[in-house]
Amino acid sequence: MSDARTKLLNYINGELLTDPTRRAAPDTPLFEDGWIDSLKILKLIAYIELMIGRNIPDEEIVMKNFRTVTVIIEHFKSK
Amino acid sequence: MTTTKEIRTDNAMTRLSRLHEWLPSGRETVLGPHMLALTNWVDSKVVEFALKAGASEVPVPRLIKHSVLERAGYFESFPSSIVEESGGGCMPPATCYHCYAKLTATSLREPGVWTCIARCQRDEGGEESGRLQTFTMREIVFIGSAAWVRKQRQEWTDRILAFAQSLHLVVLLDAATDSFFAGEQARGRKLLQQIKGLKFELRAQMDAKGTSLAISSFNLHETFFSRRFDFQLADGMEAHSGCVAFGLERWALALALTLGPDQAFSLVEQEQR
Repeated sequence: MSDARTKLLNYINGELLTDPTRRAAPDTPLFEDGWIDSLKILKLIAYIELMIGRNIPDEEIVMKNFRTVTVIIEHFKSK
Repeated sequence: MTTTKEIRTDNAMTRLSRLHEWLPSGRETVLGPHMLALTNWVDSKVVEFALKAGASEVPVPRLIKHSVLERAGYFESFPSSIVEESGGGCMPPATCYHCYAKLTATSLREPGVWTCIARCQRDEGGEESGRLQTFTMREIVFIGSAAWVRKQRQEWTDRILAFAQSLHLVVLLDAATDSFFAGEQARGRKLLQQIKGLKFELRAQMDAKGTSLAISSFNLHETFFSRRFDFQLADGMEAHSGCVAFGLERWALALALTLGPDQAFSLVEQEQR
Protein backbone atom coordinates (compact mmCIF):
# COMPACT_ATOMS: atom_id res chain seq x y z
CA MET A 1 0.00 0.00 0.00
CA SER A 2 1.35 3.42 -0.87
CA ASP A 3 2.59 5.73 1.87
CA ALA A 4 0.03 8.35 1.00
CA ARG A 5 -2.84 5.87 1.20
CA THR A 6 -1.65 4.51 4.54
CA LYS A 7 -1.24 8.03 5.88
CA LEU A 8 -4.73 9.06 4.83
CA LEU A 9 -6.30 5.87 6.16
CA ASN A 10 -4.55 6.36 9.50
CA TYR A 11 -5.82 9.91 9.70
CA ILE A 12 -9.41 8.90 8.90
CA ASN A 13 -9.42 5.97 11.34
CA GLY A 14 -7.49 7.78 14.06
CA GLU A 15 -8.91 11.29 13.92
CA LEU A 16 -12.25 11.26 12.12
CA LEU A 17 -13.94 7.96 12.96
CA THR A 18 -14.31 8.22 16.69
CA ASP A 19 -16.59 5.15 16.89
CA PRO A 20 -14.18 2.23 17.50
CA THR A 21 -16.53 -0.19 15.70
CA ARG A 22 -16.05 1.76 12.48
CA ARG A 23 -12.79 1.31 10.65
CA ALA A 24 -12.32 2.32 7.05
CA ALA A 25 -10.45 0.09 4.61
CA PRO A 26 -8.95 1.45 1.38
CA ASP A 27 -12.13 0.72 -0.57
CA THR A 28 -14.76 1.54 2.09
CA PRO A 29 -17.33 4.04 0.79
CA LEU A 30 -16.73 7.08 2.99
CA PHE A 31 -19.98 8.91 2.37
CA GLU A 32 -22.52 6.24 3.21
CA ASP A 33 -24.19 5.68 6.56
CA GLY A 34 -23.15 9.04 7.97
CA TRP A 35 -19.48 8.17 8.47
CA ILE A 36 -18.39 11.64 7.45
CA ASP A 37 -20.43 14.60 8.70
CA SER A 38 -20.26 18.28 7.82
CA LEU A 39 -17.40 18.98 10.25
CA LYS A 40 -15.39 15.88 9.37
CA ILE A 41 -15.50 16.62 5.66
CA LEU A 42 -13.82 19.97 6.32
CA LYS A 43 -11.11 18.26 8.36
CA LEU A 44 -10.66 15.63 5.66
CA ILE A 45 -10.28 18.23 2.93
CA ALA A 46 -7.86 20.29 5.03
CA TYR A 47 -5.76 17.17 5.61
CA ILE A 48 -5.69 16.24 1.91
CA GLU A 49 -4.76 19.84 1.05
CA LEU A 50 -1.80 19.56 3.42
CA MET A 51 -0.80 16.26 1.84
CA ILE A 52 -0.90 17.54 -1.73
CA GLY A 53 0.30 21.07 -0.99
CA ARG A 54 -2.50 22.99 -2.66
CA ASN A 55 -6.05 24.14 -2.09
CA ILE A 56 -8.85 22.01 -3.47
CA PRO A 57 -11.55 24.05 -5.22
CA ASP A 58 -15.13 23.21 -4.25
CA GLU A 59 -16.03 22.04 -7.75
CA GLU A 60 -13.43 19.26 -7.45
CA ILE A 61 -15.14 17.89 -4.33
CA VAL A 62 -17.53 15.43 -5.95
CA MET A 63 -18.25 11.77 -5.39
CA LYS A 64 -16.18 10.50 -8.31
CA ASN A 65 -13.07 11.99 -6.67
CA PHE A 66 -13.89 11.18 -3.04
CA ARG A 67 -15.76 7.86 -2.92
CA THR A 68 -13.02 5.92 -1.09
CA VAL A 69 -9.46 6.42 0.16
CA THR A 70 -8.16 4.63 -2.93
CA VAL A 71 -10.14 6.91 -5.22
CA ILE A 72 -8.94 10.04 -3.38
CA ILE A 73 -5.29 8.99 -3.68
CA GLU A 74 -5.65 8.06 -7.35
CA HIS A 75 -7.37 11.33 -8.16
CA PHE A 76 -4.89 13.61 -6.42
CA LYS A 77 -1.64 11.80 -7.12
CA SER A 78 -1.39 13.12 -10.66
CA LYS A 79 -2.62 16.65 -10.00
CA MET B 1 -28.11 23.71 -21.21
CA THR B 2 -30.92 21.94 -23.00
CA THR B 3 -31.96 24.45 -25.61
CA THR B 4 -35.28 23.73 -27.23
CA LYS B 5 -35.79 27.07 -28.93
CA GLU B 6 -34.42 30.56 -29.17
CA ILE B 7 -35.70 32.41 -26.13
CA ARG B 8 -37.60 35.64 -26.80
CA THR B 9 -37.97 37.52 -23.58
CA ASP B 10 -36.88 41.01 -24.63
CA ASN B 11 -40.20 42.65 -24.08
CA ALA B 12 -42.03 39.91 -22.22
CA MET B 13 -41.38 41.30 -18.74
CA THR B 14 -42.39 44.78 -19.87
CA ARG B 15 -45.55 43.37 -21.41
CA LEU B 16 -46.36 41.44 -18.24
CA SER B 17 -46.07 44.65 -16.24
CA ARG B 18 -48.16 46.63 -18.71
CA LEU B 19 -50.81 43.95 -18.62
CA HIS B 20 -50.79 44.21 -14.79
CA GLU B 21 -49.97 40.51 -14.63
CA TRP B 22 -46.65 40.75 -12.69
CA LEU B 23 -46.46 43.73 -10.38
CA PRO B 24 -43.77 43.99 -7.71
CA SER B 25 -45.28 45.71 -4.68
CA GLY B 26 -43.02 46.09 -1.65
CA ARG B 27 -42.09 42.64 -0.41
CA GLU B 28 -44.81 41.00 -2.47
CA THR B 29 -45.41 40.56 -6.14
CA VAL B 30 -49.02 40.82 -7.20
CA LEU B 31 -50.11 38.48 -9.95
CA GLY B 32 -52.86 39.38 -12.39
CA PRO B 33 -55.70 36.98 -13.23
CA HIS B 34 -53.95 35.36 -16.19
CA MET B 35 -50.71 34.75 -14.28
CA LEU B 36 -52.71 33.34 -11.38
CA ALA B 37 -54.56 31.04 -13.77
CA LEU B 38 -51.25 29.96 -15.31
CA THR B 39 -49.83 29.24 -11.84
CA ASN B 40 -52.86 27.10 -11.07
CA TRP B 41 -52.56 25.36 -14.44
CA VAL B 42 -48.96 24.36 -13.70
CA ASP B 43 -50.09 23.09 -10.31
CA SER B 44 -52.90 21.04 -11.87
CA LYS B 45 -50.37 19.35 -14.17
CA VAL B 46 -48.09 18.51 -11.25
CA VAL B 47 -51.03 17.12 -9.30
CA GLU B 48 -51.91 14.93 -12.30
CA PHE B 49 -48.38 13.52 -12.26
CA ALA B 50 -48.58 13.03 -8.51
CA LEU B 51 -51.89 11.19 -8.59
CA LYS B 52 -50.64 8.94 -11.40
CA ALA B 53 -47.62 8.16 -9.20
CA GLY B 54 -50.00 7.10 -6.42
CA ALA B 55 -49.60 10.18 -4.23
CA SER B 56 -52.06 11.06 -1.48
CA GLU B 57 -52.99 14.72 -1.15
CA VAL B 58 -52.26 16.05 2.33
CA PRO B 59 -54.26 19.13 3.35
CA VAL B 60 -52.09 21.47 5.41
CA PRO B 61 -52.83 24.55 7.52
CA ARG B 62 -51.74 28.03 6.44
CA LEU B 63 -49.28 28.40 9.32
CA ILE B 64 -46.76 26.01 10.79
CA LYS B 65 -45.85 25.77 14.45
CA HIS B 66 -42.50 27.19 15.50
CA SER B 67 -41.89 23.92 17.36
CA VAL B 68 -42.23 21.93 14.12
CA LEU B 69 -39.57 24.05 12.43
CA GLU B 70 -37.34 23.62 15.49
CA ARG B 71 -37.81 19.87 15.37
CA ALA B 72 -37.06 19.90 11.64
CA GLY B 73 -33.74 21.57 12.42
CA TYR B 74 -34.67 24.59 10.34
CA PHE B 75 -33.11 27.18 12.64
CA GLU B 76 -29.91 25.15 13.00
CA SER B 77 -29.57 24.71 9.26
CA PHE B 78 -30.47 28.26 8.34
CA PRO B 79 -29.70 30.43 11.38
CA SER B 80 -29.76 33.66 9.40
CA SER B 81 -33.21 32.99 8.03
CA ILE B 82 -35.99 35.18 9.39
CA VAL B 83 -39.29 33.45 10.07
CA GLU B 84 -42.14 35.74 11.02
CA GLU B 85 -44.62 34.54 13.61
CA SER B 86 -48.22 35.67 13.78
CA GLY B 87 -51.48 34.24 15.01
CA GLY B 88 -49.94 31.23 16.70
CA GLY B 89 -47.65 30.07 13.93
CA CYS B 90 -45.19 30.93 11.19
CA MET B 91 -45.45 31.17 7.45
CA PRO B 92 -43.69 27.94 6.40
CA PRO B 93 -40.33 28.34 4.62
CA ALA B 94 -41.10 25.10 2.73
CA THR B 95 -44.23 23.02 2.29
CA CYS B 96 -42.86 19.56 3.05
CA TYR B 97 -42.30 20.22 6.78
CA HIS B 98 -46.05 19.80 7.22
CA CYS B 99 -45.77 16.26 5.83
CA TYR B 100 -43.07 15.14 8.23
CA ALA B 101 -44.97 16.62 11.16
CA LYS B 102 -48.05 14.61 10.19
CA LEU B 103 -45.98 11.42 10.13
CA THR B 104 -44.52 11.98 13.61
CA ALA B 105 -44.07 8.73 15.56
CA THR B 106 -45.65 6.54 12.89
CA SER B 107 -44.61 3.28 11.34
CA LEU B 108 -45.15 3.11 7.57
CA ARG B 109 -46.56 -0.18 6.32
CA GLU B 110 -45.14 0.48 2.87
CA PRO B 111 -43.26 3.19 0.99
CA GLY B 112 -45.46 6.16 0.23
CA VAL B 113 -45.85 9.31 -1.83
CA TRP B 114 -47.62 12.43 -0.59
CA THR B 115 -48.27 15.85 -2.05
CA CYS B 116 -49.19 19.15 -0.48
CA ILE B 117 -49.26 22.83 -1.34
CA ALA B 118 -48.72 25.91 0.82
CA ARG B 119 -47.97 29.60 0.67
CA CYS B 120 -44.38 29.93 1.85
CA GLN B 121 -42.18 32.79 2.91
CA ARG B 122 -38.42 33.16 2.79
CA ASP B 123 -36.10 36.10 3.06
CA GLU B 124 -33.16 34.88 0.99
CA GLY B 125 -32.03 38.24 -0.34
CA GLY B 126 -31.32 38.76 -4.02
CA GLU B 127 -33.11 41.05 -6.39
CA GLU B 128 -33.49 38.82 -9.42
CA SER B 129 -36.80 38.57 -11.20
CA GLY B 130 -38.93 35.71 -9.94
CA ARG B 131 -37.24 35.45 -6.52
CA LEU B 132 -40.30 36.20 -4.41
CA GLN B 133 -40.40 36.48 -0.64
CA THR B 134 -43.89 35.00 -0.52
CA PHE B 135 -44.68 32.28 -2.99
CA THR B 136 -46.65 29.09 -3.56
CA MET B 137 -44.82 25.80 -3.31
CA ARG B 138 -46.21 22.42 -4.36
CA GLU B 139 -44.20 19.49 -3.07
CA ILE B 140 -44.12 15.77 -3.67
CA VAL B 141 -42.70 13.82 -0.73
CA PHE B 142 -41.63 10.19 -0.92
CA ILE B 143 -40.64 8.00 1.99
CA GLY B 144 -39.27 4.46 1.94
CA SER B 145 -35.98 2.60 1.76
CA ALA B 146 -32.85 4.42 0.59
CA ALA B 147 -32.88 2.68 -2.80
CA TRP B 148 -36.61 3.25 -3.34
CA VAL B 149 -36.37 6.95 -2.49
CA ARG B 150 -33.39 7.43 -4.79
CA LYS B 151 -35.32 5.70 -7.60
CA GLN B 152 -38.34 7.93 -6.97
CA ARG B 153 -36.22 11.03 -7.25
CA GLN B 154 -34.75 9.83 -10.54
CA GLU B 155 -38.20 9.09 -11.95
CA TRP B 156 -39.51 12.50 -10.87
CA THR B 157 -36.45 14.21 -12.32
CA ASP B 158 -36.96 12.52 -15.69
CA ARG B 159 -40.71 13.24 -15.63
CA ILE B 160 -40.41 16.93 -14.82
CA LEU B 161 -37.48 17.54 -17.15
CA ALA B 162 -39.57 16.07 -19.99
CA PHE B 163 -42.57 18.16 -18.91
CA ALA B 164 -40.53 21.39 -18.95
CA GLN B 165 -39.10 20.56 -22.36
CA SER B 166 -42.56 19.76 -23.74
CA LEU B 167 -43.52 23.32 -22.77
CA HIS B 168 -40.47 24.66 -24.65
CA LEU B 169 -38.83 26.00 -21.51
CA VAL B 170 -35.08 26.43 -21.87
CA VAL B 171 -33.87 24.40 -18.93
CA LEU B 172 -30.78 23.01 -17.27
CA LEU B 173 -30.60 20.33 -14.59
CA ASP B 174 -27.88 21.37 -12.21
CA ALA B 175 -26.28 19.95 -9.07
CA ALA B 176 -26.99 22.40 -6.28
CA THR B 177 -26.53 23.16 -2.63
CA ASP B 178 -28.71 25.20 -0.30
CA SER B 179 -27.14 28.60 -0.77
CA PHE B 180 -28.69 29.89 2.42
CA PHE B 181 -26.89 27.46 4.72
CA ALA B 182 -25.13 29.58 7.31
CA GLY B 183 -23.04 29.15 10.41
CA GLU B 184 -19.67 27.62 11.17
CA GLN B 185 -20.26 24.36 9.32
CA ALA B 186 -21.93 25.95 6.30
CA ARG B 187 -19.17 24.99 3.88
CA GLY B 188 -19.13 21.45 5.25
CA ARG B 189 -22.89 21.09 4.78
CA LYS B 190 -22.72 22.42 1.25
CA LEU B 191 -19.86 20.09 0.35
CA LEU B 192 -21.67 17.10 1.81
CA GLN B 193 -24.77 17.94 -0.23
CA GLN B 194 -22.58 18.28 -3.30
CA ILE B 195 -20.52 15.14 -2.82
CA LYS B 196 -23.57 12.97 -2.08
CA GLY B 197 -25.66 14.51 -4.88
CA LEU B 198 -28.47 15.29 -2.46
CA LYS B 199 -29.87 18.26 -4.33
CA PHE B 200 -30.51 19.03 -7.98
CA GLU B 201 -32.25 22.06 -9.37
CA LEU B 202 -34.12 22.53 -12.61
CA ARG B 203 -33.14 26.00 -13.75
CA ALA B 204 -35.08 27.86 -16.43
CA GLN B 205 -33.60 30.55 -18.58
CA MET B 206 -35.40 33.81 -17.82
CA ASP B 207 -33.92 36.26 -20.32
CA ALA B 208 -31.88 36.53 -23.49
CA LYS B 209 -28.70 37.11 -21.45
CA GLY B 210 -28.98 33.59 -20.08
CA THR B 211 -30.01 34.47 -16.52
CA SER B 212 -31.60 31.41 -14.98
CA LEU B 213 -33.77 30.77 -11.96
CA ALA B 214 -34.50 27.49 -10.16
CA ILE B 215 -38.10 26.48 -10.79
CA SER B 216 -37.94 23.04 -9.15
CA SER B 217 -35.61 21.12 -6.88
CA PHE B 218 -35.14 17.37 -6.44
CA ASN B 219 -33.88 16.48 -2.98
CA LEU B 220 -32.75 13.54 -0.87
CA HIS B 221 -32.75 13.92 2.91
CA GLU B 222 -31.38 10.48 3.83
CA THR B 223 -32.68 9.75 7.36
CA PHE B 224 -32.60 13.36 8.56
CA PHE B 225 -36.36 13.90 8.84
CA SER B 226 -37.30 10.35 9.88
CA ARG B 227 -34.94 10.67 12.86
CA ARG B 228 -36.16 14.17 13.69
CA PHE B 229 -39.85 13.21 13.51
CA ASP B 230 -39.46 9.64 14.67
CA PHE B 231 -41.12 7.81 11.79
CA GLN B 232 -39.85 4.51 10.44
CA LEU B 233 -40.64 1.62 8.13
CA ALA B 234 -42.75 -1.23 9.44
CA ASP B 235 -39.92 -3.73 9.09
CA GLY B 236 -37.93 -1.67 11.57
CA MET B 237 -35.64 -0.26 8.90
CA GLU B 238 -34.85 3.42 8.99
CA ALA B 239 -37.01 5.48 6.66
CA HIS B 240 -35.36 7.67 4.05
CA SER B 241 -37.14 10.66 2.56
CA GLY B 242 -36.91 12.80 -0.53
CA CYS B 243 -38.96 15.55 -2.11
CA VAL B 244 -39.55 17.47 -5.29
CA ALA B 245 -40.46 21.13 -4.93
CA PHE B 246 -42.17 23.38 -7.47
CA GLY B 247 -42.03 27.16 -7.19
CA LEU B 248 -45.32 27.68 -9.01
CA GLU B 249 -45.02 31.43 -9.66
CA ARG B 250 -41.52 30.84 -11.02
CA TRP B 251 -42.85 28.19 -13.41
CA ALA B 252 -45.57 30.61 -14.59
CA LEU B 253 -43.05 33.43 -15.02
CA ALA B 254 -40.64 31.19 -16.94
CA LEU B 255 -43.49 30.19 -19.28
CA ALA B 256 -44.66 33.79 -19.79
CA LEU B 257 -41.12 35.00 -20.51
CA THR B 258 -40.18 32.10 -22.78
CA LEU B 259 -43.36 31.71 -24.81
CA GLY B 260 -44.53 35.29 -24.48
CA PRO B 261 -47.54 36.14 -22.31
CA ASP B 262 -50.18 35.46 -24.98
CA GLN B 263 -48.97 31.98 -25.87
CA ALA B 264 -48.39 31.13 -22.21
CA PHE B 265 -51.87 32.24 -21.19
CA SER B 266 -53.34 30.25 -24.08
CA LEU B 267 -52.16 27.05 -22.37
CA VAL B 268 -54.87 27.63 -19.79
CA GLU B 269 -57.49 28.57 -22.37
CA GLN B 270 -56.78 25.44 -24.44
CA GLU B 271 -57.39 23.36 -21.35
CA GLN B 272 -60.72 25.05 -20.67
CA ARG B 273 -62.12 24.37 -24.18
